Amino acid sequence: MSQTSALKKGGSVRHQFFEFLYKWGMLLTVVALVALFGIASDSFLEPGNLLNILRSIAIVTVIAIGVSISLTVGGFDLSVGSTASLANALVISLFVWHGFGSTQAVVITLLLCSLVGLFNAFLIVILKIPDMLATLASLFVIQGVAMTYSYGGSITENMLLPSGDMAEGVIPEGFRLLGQVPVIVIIMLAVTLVAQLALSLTRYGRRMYAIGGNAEAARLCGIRTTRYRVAAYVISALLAGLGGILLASRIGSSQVNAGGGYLMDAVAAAWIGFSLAGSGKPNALGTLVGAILLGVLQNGLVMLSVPYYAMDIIKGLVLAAALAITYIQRR
Amino acid sequence: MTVVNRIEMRNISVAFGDIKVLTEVNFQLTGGSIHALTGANGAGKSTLMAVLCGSYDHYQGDILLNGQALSLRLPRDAKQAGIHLVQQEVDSALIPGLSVAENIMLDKLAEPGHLYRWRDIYQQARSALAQLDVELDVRKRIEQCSLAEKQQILLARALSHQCRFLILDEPTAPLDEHESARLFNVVRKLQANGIGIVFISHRIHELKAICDQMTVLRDGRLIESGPMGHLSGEQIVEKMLGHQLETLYPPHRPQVADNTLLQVNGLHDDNHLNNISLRLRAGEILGIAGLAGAGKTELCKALFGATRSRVDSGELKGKRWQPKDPADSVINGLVLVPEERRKEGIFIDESLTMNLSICADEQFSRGGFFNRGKATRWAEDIIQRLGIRATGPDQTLRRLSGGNQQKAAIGKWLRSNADVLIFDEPTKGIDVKAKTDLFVLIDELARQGKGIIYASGEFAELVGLCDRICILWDGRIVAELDGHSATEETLLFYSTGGTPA
Repeated sequence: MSQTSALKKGGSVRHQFFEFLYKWGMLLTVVALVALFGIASDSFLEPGNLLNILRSIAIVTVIAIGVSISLTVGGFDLSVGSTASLANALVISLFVWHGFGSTQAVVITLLLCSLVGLFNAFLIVILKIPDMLATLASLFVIQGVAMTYSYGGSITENMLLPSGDMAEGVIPEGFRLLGQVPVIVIIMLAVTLVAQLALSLTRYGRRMYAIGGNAEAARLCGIRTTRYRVAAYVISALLAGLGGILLASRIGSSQVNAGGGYLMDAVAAAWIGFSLAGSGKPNALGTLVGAILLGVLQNGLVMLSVPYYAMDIIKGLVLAAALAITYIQRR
Repeated sequence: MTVVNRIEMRNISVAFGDIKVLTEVNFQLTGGSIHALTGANGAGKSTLMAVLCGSYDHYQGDILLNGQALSLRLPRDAKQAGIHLVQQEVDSALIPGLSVAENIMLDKLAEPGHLYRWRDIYQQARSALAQLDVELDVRKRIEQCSLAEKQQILLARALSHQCRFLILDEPTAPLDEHESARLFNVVRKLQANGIGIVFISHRIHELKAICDQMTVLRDGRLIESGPMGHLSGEQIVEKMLGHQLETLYPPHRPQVADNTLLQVNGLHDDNHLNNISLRLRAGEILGIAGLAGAGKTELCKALFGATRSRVDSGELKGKRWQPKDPADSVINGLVLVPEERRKEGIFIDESLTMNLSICADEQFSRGGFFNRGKATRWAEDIIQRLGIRATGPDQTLRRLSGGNQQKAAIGKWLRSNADVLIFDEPTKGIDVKAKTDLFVLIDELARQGKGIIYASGEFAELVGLCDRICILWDGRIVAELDGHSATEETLLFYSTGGTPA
């Protein structure tokens, strides 16, 4: 009897250790990386640099939370990068070509981006294309739309229009503030907080997780699954649009496929976020921590003078490790 | 076969984390014998056999083959010792897209260094099937095979090896009577060839018919082991339950008032259901009897609005109504407990609390915000009321037995304002104890004035529980009987296409 209880205890200690690692491994990694970079580099821990990290991850985080929301209903939105590019082009063109004010331009851009979400939902819900393939298709479509709209080039103040005139619109000063510290960080934190509260504390969030867990059982529970899936893709597109607007504010112009680069970081952050607190599900807070992890890594490696072309190796390995923590538990 | 093989398991214990699934169980199996292994769900039958198949590397205890110690830590070890398993869920062991022959010879194909010699593969597959007296086109794709054929394929796979011991996990569960009889012949033949067979089943009469040895497990412990003839059917059930079996079914409810709750006339769907009309009164249990393929599940889903159908006219709680979609049905108080529990009825990786609160989440919410504490208290209440065996409301359903999962699938509707509950094969894959609990629960719901539709192919249950029984055959209702006077024989007669004389 004593032997079996000792065995049991030994097993449970090991069990608890892995349980702990699974729940908090990602957070520990962030802390360890910060400590490591702090020791290795003099300037890493300076407040200015830490703020710099937060600023640099804001756009990724906002887009990644959109991806997370598409993941909660068992979907996967790959078109977020293109949507961000489109939003970038739209919002700048509304200023430069059409002379709109900040509020109008942002609202119109977000409305048009929600159409992208409806288009995705149409492909998935009506045409029944699997989520990933449908949004892969719309990735190309929206990317093309964004480029065609901007005549395959960038949009800047005082640009030469195809008609031969010079564009007369200006980007308002107020709009430029969106992309500066502290506004951009506040927006990121607000989006994270609202998304996290909505997902974990409201019944709508619980229903979305239910759909992600077992769509057929959710439907037979009387949940209108189609509505929730459409809503998830619209929200995802809106957040991608917001990311694109923040990007526009930061760079003060529209560049070809400027949002495309954010897709993979956003997807990575969303997936790394699964393991936070052992939830095993997409969630906003985890996504934020995932983005912080990627941002710290990027920033610290730059400080250590790791060449930019080698950075993806480490980023990829960290993603693999984070996913291993999530899946090894599910075995 | 002159040597009689004998395998002995001594003091086998298995634990997952802190939960003990098996505690010092002994089990012996001799060649040429059919050994019944029975017990309620969650008793540890499958775990014990999984140990024998080398599925767990962390069991404690000894296994002896013909007196020699044997280590079964890997599936390979078991196969080398000649121990083979025919799974209950046949699809989990078959590879769709491959032919019958490839599936039979799968283990051989997995060995390294083999070229595909189609002629040999077909030849060997045919000879394995011939041992079972089965004629089956070995080039056929798995998808085109019936459940019984798939089972034969797995049997043939086991026999394509040097098979000394064969484990059949609930082999008769998916089979009809004719197919079961055929299986029994095969099993007896294998027995005559000196193979030791473990036969897992809940159906006592089958065990009595075919087995010579018996072992009963309960809560992971050995309760009884010995020759089959020693115990009567009732005694076996008592051993499984751990207490005397009073009666399986609740006493009959008093005659109900003629108060129509649900009525449909002329229900059709696109492929199977043909002009179905039925009426359900408040406080009544209406049985839908039918064999596999009669259209029970289709009817249940059509009534619930989960599949498309048309009705000439319909009425629910005095209002004009027709099935639209599940969400609409739930709002109107008509709910379904589906047949495919794992696929359609529960969220397997979610907690009991989540499973029990998801359907009535507005009752736990204020202003859209979900009150977790209230939901947990409700889950605790349901766990208590339905006797769900779990460590607590936070436990995920994956860790519960089939019967307890089913209770959760039903429990989720108890908070909503459901007036009509449709049960589709609710006792599928659950043990005697859980069944009795379920019958009591359903009876209680009827006594509260709810209307119950109980669709099942288990005629004894229908006769024991229902006030009226409609018999479904080929998508039509061919007869309606009074539940108190109906017998299993008449139900069987009508549901096999017999017409009133």
